[in-house]
Amino acid sequence: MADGVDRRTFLKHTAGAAIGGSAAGASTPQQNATRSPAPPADDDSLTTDRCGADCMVDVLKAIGFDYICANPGSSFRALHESIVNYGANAKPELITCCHEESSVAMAHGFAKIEGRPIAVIAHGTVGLQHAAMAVYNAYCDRVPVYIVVGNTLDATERRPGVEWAHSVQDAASLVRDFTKWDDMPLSLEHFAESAVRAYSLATTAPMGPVVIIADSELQERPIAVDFKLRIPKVTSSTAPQGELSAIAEVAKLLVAAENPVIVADRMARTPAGLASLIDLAETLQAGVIDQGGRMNFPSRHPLNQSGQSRAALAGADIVVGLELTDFWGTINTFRDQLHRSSRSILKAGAKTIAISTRELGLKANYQEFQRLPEVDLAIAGDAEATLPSLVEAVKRLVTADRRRAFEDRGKRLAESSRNAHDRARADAAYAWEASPVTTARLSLELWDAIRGDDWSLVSYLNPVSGWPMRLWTFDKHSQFIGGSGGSGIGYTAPASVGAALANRKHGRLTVTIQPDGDLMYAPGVLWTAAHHRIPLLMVMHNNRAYHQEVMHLQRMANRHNRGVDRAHIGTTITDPNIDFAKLAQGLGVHAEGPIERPADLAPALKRAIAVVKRGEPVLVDVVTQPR
Amino acid sequence: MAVLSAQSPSASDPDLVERGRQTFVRVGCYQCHGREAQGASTGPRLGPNPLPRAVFARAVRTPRNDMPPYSVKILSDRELEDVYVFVTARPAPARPR
Repeated sequence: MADGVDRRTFLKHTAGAAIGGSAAGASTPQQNATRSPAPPADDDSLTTDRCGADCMVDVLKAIGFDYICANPGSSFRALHESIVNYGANAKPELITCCHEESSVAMAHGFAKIEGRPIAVIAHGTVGLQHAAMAVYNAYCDRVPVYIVVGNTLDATERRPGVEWAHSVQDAASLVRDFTKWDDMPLSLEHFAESAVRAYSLATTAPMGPVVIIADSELQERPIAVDFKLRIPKVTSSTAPQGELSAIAEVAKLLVAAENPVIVADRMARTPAGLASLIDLAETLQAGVIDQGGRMNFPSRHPLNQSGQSRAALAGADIVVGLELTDFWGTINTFRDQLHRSSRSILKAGAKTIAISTRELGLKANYQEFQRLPEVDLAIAGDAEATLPSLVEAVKRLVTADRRRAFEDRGKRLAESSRNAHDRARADAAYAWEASPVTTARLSLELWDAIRGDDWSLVSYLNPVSGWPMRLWTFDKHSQFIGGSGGSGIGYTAPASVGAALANRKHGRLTVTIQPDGDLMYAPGVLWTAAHHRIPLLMVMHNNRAYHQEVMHLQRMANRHNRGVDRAHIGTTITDPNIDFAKLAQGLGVHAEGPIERPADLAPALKRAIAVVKRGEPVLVDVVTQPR
Repeated sequence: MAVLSAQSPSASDPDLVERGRQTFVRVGCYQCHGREAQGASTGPRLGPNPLPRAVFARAVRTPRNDMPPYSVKILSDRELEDVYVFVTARPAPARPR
């Protein structure tokens, strides 16, 4: 501010400062820059008993956040201080993170267990840039993450040097392509309204991340001790339901179909979605393919056809896709050879129906929306919210004749499901004694260790060949949360810690199968788990490689007739081998390994679970086969 | 198209099996199929009881799916035979788990 006038002192002595907001006289950041106030007296100008950040904490409390994840940064120093002092560090409690990507991914994992977001604070330019990849994952995964970003918009108020590098004209622009909404409030009243709006938007399907800028001037502004900010009512919209006449048409087609197949991906947001899909499938005795974006359908249900999805789709006369990430990829093959080609899996005349919110939330730049599937009927609506109407419509149309046909179909599907499970058990037995440990043995030893508990597996299953979904009994919504969304590596470790934080109050045993390359992005999250006493069983899938990329290099090397001898360069994590147990121990986490003999795994898991049940995180490093 | 010889070396010869194992690892088969050819989501189980020789060779040389093609420049017919011996010699599991 010009003439050496301290802005906070100035604000304290203006009428506007006494009421805290801008409309009745307190300055916006822009207004401050144009005024030339008289200098205040110095004697009482160095302290204040309340500040704008206190009001922001009131807003965060009103919204109902349990936690707020942050790596500290000066652009939100006042908000940080208000959270821990004014807000007594409770609801929200500050979770100390070692990287902003970890903060956001923790919030991602938490929301998928709890069904509602926690908050993140990120530091100006540098914090949000660190966070960006995790924000993109949450966006692709349609998960609500609530991000508050510190910034100093008024250039005349910035401290020389670093604060300039940490300030930005339009902070949210960095992530605007992959967030649902953002705002840069100019007053505390504006902050309250936009913060509440952001929460509502983030939690309305299709859900997604939101960003609210907390300007440092607003945070640090002195306010009157008795000032009370008006906070709008916090209301989330109900999820949009598919149009009823279209639902009636779908019901008619399903009841008449000889072989309907239901495919679900990011469908079951809550346990109600799981229950509704069971109801629909059992009413129709229709096969279900769970693509694993959420815990959509019990793994051992007799109608579950996920283990033979290609055959199920090839025989379908109707395919209903529920919140599919990639409908086109579901019903087409794609051959990744020198000349790429594709063909439909479906038989001629098969009908395709999509029930999804995808069309309600697409953006242009980032291409996560996949190829156009050309479905026969597309219903814009949240599939979980739409299923109850569809179930009722189907039940109204079922006749005794159709019910008999359904029962016959159900028996065939049950046999197919049983055979698939028997095949999986037989397949898992191959190379049982091999070292490195097979991913099948890892999965079965882990299953034996946890099956008696209320467990929750919070890692994605592709890296271990999907064995848990083929071998374990998943039948509760909290037992699985799907994957990262954007396949940005570095998600699994922090999302697992976030999911474990959510599971803690429910007393669930949280388990993650942790890829090695993923953990190396930001292993500091182990310290966060130790520091906050977050119980988590982390079992390493340590194949000492970025294995997906090994396979891509092999593909290129063979395609170019050069052989795979050098495919390990830049794709493997050896020489030296990483000692993950020592890494974890150094960060305060109980750990053991590396385990290379398969017979050593079961006793190690038993010891580890005992520690987790005392309320601590544990890492068990297992050297594994590639997939 | 290269086809494995009708008179292939025996899968009961430990030296030949070991030679096949080394080739199996060196040319990266294990990355998708596992070190014991036990299979994974990235590639099916190959042994014991692999595909008939001619079908196996065709799948390696000119795969119909996403598998990287192995031309004779990077995997000779003899090396392919070695791999076949190795996968044929894989032990069957004692019982389902």
